[in-house]
Amino acid sequence: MAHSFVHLHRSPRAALMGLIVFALPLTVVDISAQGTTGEAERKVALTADVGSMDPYRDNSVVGLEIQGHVFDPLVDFRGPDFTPTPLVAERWENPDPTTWRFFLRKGIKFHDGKELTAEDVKFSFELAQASPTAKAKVANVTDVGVVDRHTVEVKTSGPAASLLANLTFIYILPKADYQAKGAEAFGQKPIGSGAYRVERWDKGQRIVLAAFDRYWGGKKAPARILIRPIAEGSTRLAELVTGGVDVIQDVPVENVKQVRENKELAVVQAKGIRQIFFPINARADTPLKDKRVRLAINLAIDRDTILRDVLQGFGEARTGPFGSRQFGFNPEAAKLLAYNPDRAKALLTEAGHPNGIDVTWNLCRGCWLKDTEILETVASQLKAVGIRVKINLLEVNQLLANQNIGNFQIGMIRWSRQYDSDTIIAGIQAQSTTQKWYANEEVDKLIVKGRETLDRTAREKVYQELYKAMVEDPGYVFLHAQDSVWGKRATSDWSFNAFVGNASMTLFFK
Amino acid sequence: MLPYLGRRLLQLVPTLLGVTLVVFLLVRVSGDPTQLLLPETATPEDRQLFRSQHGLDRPIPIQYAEYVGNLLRGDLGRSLVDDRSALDVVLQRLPATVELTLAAIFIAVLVGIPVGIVSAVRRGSVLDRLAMLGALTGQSMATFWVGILLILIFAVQLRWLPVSGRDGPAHVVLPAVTLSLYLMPLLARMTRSSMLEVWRQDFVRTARAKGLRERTVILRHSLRAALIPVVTVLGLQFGGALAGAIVTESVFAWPGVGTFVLDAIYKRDYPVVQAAVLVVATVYILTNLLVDLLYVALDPRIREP
Repeated sequence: MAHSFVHLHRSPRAALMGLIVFALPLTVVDISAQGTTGEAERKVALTADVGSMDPYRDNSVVGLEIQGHVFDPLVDFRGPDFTPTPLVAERWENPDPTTWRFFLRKGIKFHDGKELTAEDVKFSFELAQASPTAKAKVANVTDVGVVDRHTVEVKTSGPAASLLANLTFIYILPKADYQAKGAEAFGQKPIGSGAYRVERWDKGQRIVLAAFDRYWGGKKAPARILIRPIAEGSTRLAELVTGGVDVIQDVPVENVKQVRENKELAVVQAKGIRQIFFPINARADTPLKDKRVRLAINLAIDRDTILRDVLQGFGEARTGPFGSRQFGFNPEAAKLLAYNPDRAKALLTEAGHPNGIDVTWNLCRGCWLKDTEILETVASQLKAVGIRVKINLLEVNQLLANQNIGNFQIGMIRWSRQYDSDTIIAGIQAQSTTQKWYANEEVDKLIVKGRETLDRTAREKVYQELYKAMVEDPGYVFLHAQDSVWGKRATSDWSFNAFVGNASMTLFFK
Repeated sequence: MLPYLGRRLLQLVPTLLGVTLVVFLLVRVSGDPTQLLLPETATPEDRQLFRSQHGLDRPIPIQYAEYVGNLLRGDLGRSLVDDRSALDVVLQRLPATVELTLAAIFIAVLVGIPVGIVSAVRRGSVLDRLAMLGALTGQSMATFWVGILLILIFAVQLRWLPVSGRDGPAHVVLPAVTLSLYLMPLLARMTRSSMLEVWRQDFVRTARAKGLRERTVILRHSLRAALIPVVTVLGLQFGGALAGAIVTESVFAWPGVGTFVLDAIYKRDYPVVQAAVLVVATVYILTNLLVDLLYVALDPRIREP
């Protein structure tokens, strides 16, 4: 018997599964009798388990998903308008552009009944600053001072407009309990001040969360949330079909149609959550050095066809750094890189390459949804204008390692849910600047300006300018952002707490 | 028996040391964990900090020496992902894998050996051909495919058994059957050929000449001799079953070492991969030791040096 597990998570098998699941008549048992467990308990299948509940140790996507129930940050961005929502902090003010004073809600209890105070907030910042995976979120924080029991003052190295967005990732942990248990034990038996407490955790098997009676926002429904890690897409789907769970993460794209056609099930879609950038090495001695060539690559891609035919609509085309509903989107500049193969050809000729060019594009299989299929389609579209792409298949680790030392022509950067334009752009741009693949003084200036502009309207204008600058001299191939597709029992009332543009946390309660 | 056992246990030390060296080097040539564990936009300084925090910036021989030193004190390091003790997390998941593997072996033995005997007895018959065809088919099917097929039939269509998870005896059935399909054909074919081999030997002819009943000749005289190679294969295939458990566990969301180590490999969580391989290798070696002891019991000649 063959034991091939290399492609275990790849889609064709899920496709086979979906085909059989939904093609066979479900005659034996009437599944409508089963299904959702109602408000008392919600069962959710996620793609992986969390290693530690300590967000400063395990900050994987699934980890944050679960930890978000157990802990609260000072502030979260919620609702369809993506508005800053006070959680642990009741309100905040800026006495000066580099000082943020947070006034904590009084009477917030941790799950052990102790009160949450400014000391816990300071402690949580310290944990974040010491964590290699979380420190970027608080990189510009220079000092956290306790003013009184319920007031915290955060100093930043310069005006930091993106601070609030970054703080949505900084969960407040109980200092006393954390120190008493030690980091490792706390991660296994955590307590927080969130809406749910961990009632039971069988590693690799299930986490049972129970609604916290004394949650400052009132007890939440459902009373229990059971979370199971099921890595295999087909198995998650089978659990959903049989009513074993009410909600599943990541319905395999191939199966979405069948899920939609099944009256017992429904699809919940979050638009453009995962953003994928393809950095172009503009510094190495290749034709990519020429801005016109980089423009030609962007202009030669017919994104709509890719989205329709390959991604079956589960994504959003991007012709610039932000999506249409993100802060700083520039609708005029977005048109500049719209599909225009004739102009692409003309630009190539103008740049001195009438016979086309050869480029190498690094790809890791399984790194993003339909990666190989998408890149093959892109390659054939580019070929039509004379850009011959050699797809260089690398293992993800190798791809990133090469990229970090500038050893690539076109590479890949993946971003999942980011709250703020500064985080998206500054992150990818800082990387290219430090690694010297691409430099554009105007872009760099605008990044700093955007970060330092606290007024929201003025800030949006800066990002629109930045958008334009990044499109006019592209350092990336802008292609798409992929959706996150969840499945649920039709009778389940669960939906995303908030999803629009670059999306917020997925919470399994209302 | 005791000196034999002592000798075998001593041999365990260099074998396991060899395993640690191979795994230690293999995970390190697979790439730098900071690429996957830190955000893609982490600065070179962040990466360096991570490496020095975890001692990954020192020369490999020094890292290995320290690893072996810690190993002797029972410390297998801490996960790079969540900082938990690597040994603890592996041991936490080992019972589920052992349970699954043993259940699969049990089913394989229960079905495979009788099928092999019947096939041998009725050599050339339709029954024999069907059994061997079944064995060949079983061996050719991918574990993944079989697993999903079983889920479809018994969990989705018939609703007799749960789809996935580990929550009681009903949950082990489908994964154990899936995994057993890897061993079963092998056992059936081994038993069949081994029985046929034994029947050509003099002692069987003698038994028959004495006028013993065929049932006695088969079960009391031939089977014991025929089982020696079968037991050997079973021991060797235990490793294969553990490997097969990776796929099976993944399909059935079985919380064993398999799924966990797969994830650790993807993330380049060196200490966890090392601990998992070491633990599984130890289980494998001990099982083979057990098999050899069984072998000795079946054939006392082996004990002699």
